Amino acid sequence: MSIESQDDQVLAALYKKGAKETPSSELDRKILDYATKENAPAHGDSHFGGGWKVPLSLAASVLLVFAILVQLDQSPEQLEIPPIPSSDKSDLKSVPMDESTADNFSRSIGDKLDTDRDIGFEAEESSGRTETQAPSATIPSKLESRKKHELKETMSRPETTLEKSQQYDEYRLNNELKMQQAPAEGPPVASPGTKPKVSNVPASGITRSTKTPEHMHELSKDAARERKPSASKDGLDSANGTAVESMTPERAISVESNQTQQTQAREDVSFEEETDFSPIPVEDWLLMIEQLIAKRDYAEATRQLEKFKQAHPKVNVEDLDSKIP
Amino acid sequence: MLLYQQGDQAAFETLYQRYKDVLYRYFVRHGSDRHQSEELYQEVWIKLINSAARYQPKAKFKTYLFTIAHNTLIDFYRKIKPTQVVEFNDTEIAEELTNNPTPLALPEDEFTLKQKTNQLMQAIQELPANQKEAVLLHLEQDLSVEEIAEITQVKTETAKSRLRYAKNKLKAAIQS
Repeated sequence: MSIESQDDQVLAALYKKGAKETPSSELDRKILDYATKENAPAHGDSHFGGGWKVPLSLAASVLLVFAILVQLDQSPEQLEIPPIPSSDKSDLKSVPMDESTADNFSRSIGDKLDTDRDIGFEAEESSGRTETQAPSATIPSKLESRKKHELKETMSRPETTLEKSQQYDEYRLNNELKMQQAPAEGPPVASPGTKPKVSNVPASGITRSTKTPEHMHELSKDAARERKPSASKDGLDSANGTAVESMTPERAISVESNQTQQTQAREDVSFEEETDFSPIPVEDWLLMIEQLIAKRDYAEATRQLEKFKQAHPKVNVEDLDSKIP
Repeated sequence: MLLYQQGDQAAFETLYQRYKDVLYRYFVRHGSDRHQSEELYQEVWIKLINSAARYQPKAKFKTYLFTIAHNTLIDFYRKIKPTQVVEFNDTEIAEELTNNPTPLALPEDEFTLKQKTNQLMQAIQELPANQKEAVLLHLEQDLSVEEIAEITQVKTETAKSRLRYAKNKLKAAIQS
C-alpha cells in the first residue's frame, strides 16, 4: 500500500468519525411530503387522463364522423356541386335568382334583344328578302304568343347568370351573322347617314308580324304616298329633303318612319326578327294555314299554302287544298 | 430514481435515506451556518423532485445529485457572496505542498483521535471552496477524480490538482 493511499484512508476515517451531522426529522418530513405531493398528481393525472379524456375524445370524433356520413346519405342532392364554369367566365357567380330578380333580368335582356333585332331587321329590309325567307317573317299570333311565352319562361327560369349570358351571346352572334350575310343576298345597303329603315305603319291597323314582306312592302308604299308631304312639313333639312325626294317612295317612307316611329317599330319587329333565324317548323306552318282557313281568311291561307308548297314540295297538303274554296 | 419517475414513492424514500446525510454534510461543510445549509439542502431535493420526469440515467445517480448540489452552491455564492466565488479559482500557489514522506496513522487513544478529527474538520473549513468541494466529494462519497471533474464541471487535471492540494493541506494540519 502506497503512502498516498494510506493517507487517504486515515483522512477518510478521521472525517467519517467527525462528520455526524444529519438533517432534522422535520426537514426530512417536509422533503418527503413534497415528493409525495409532486409525484401523486402527475401519477394520478395520467391515470385520470387515461380514464376518460381519451375515450371521450375518441367517442366524440366517431360520433361526428357518423353524423356527417348519415347526412351525406340522406341528402346527396343538396351537396351536389354545380359544374364549374370555364376559366374565362370564372368571375360569374352561379347563384340561382329569385323570381323577381329573374323577371327584372328577363325584361332587361328583352330590351337588349329588341335593340339587336332592330339592327338586324334594318339590314335585312334594306337588302330585300327572298321568297324562301318570307314564311319565317309571317308568324300567326298564336305561334307568336307561344314563342314569346317560351322565351319568357326561359328567361324567368332561375338560371345562372352564366347561362343567360351565354344565351344572349348566341342571340347576338346570330344577328351579327345575319347582318353580314344580308348585303351579299340583296341590293347594296344605303349609307349609314341615309340608311333606310322599314317599320310598321300603325295607321294601317295591321301589324308587321301578321303580314308577309310583300304585304309590308305594299303598305309601306301606301304609307309613303300618304306621308310624303307631311315629311317635308316636319322641317327636314334641305339635305335630307333632297335625299328624300331623290329616293324612291319606299326609301323615303323608311327614313321618315325611322325618325318618327322607332319605338313602335321596335315593339312590332322584335318577334318577327326573333323568328328570322329559326325556320318555322312544318307542323306549325300547317297549323297556321288551318287557322287561317278556320278564320275564313282564304286569301292569306292560299298565299301561305303556295309558299309552303314551294318551301316543302314533298309534303302532301291536298287536304288543306280541299278545304279552301 | 426511474422507479420514482414511474410513480413509486417508496423508491424515492430509499434514495433519500441513502443520500440525505452526505448531501446535508456537503452543505454544512460549505455553509456558514446551519440554517443556510438546510436551505440549500432542501433546494437540492426540490430541484431533484421537480426534474424527476425529465431524468435520464446517463450517469450514476450520486453524480447527478451532486451536480445539482454543486450548481446550487455556485448560485448561492454568486447571489449571497459574490467575492467568495474567487475562491473557486485555482490561483493559489501551494508553497507548502512539499511532499511529506511521513505517512499518516490513526491515533490509538480516543482522546488523540478526537483531537485529530477536530483538527481535520477545522482544516477542511479553512480550505478554499474549490479544494474543499473536491476533498469533501472524495472523503464523503469516495468519488474518483473523473467523477469530481464531472460534478464540478472542470477538466480532470484541474480536479486532480485541487484534490491533491486539499489532501496535502489536511495532512499537514493533522501532523502539525
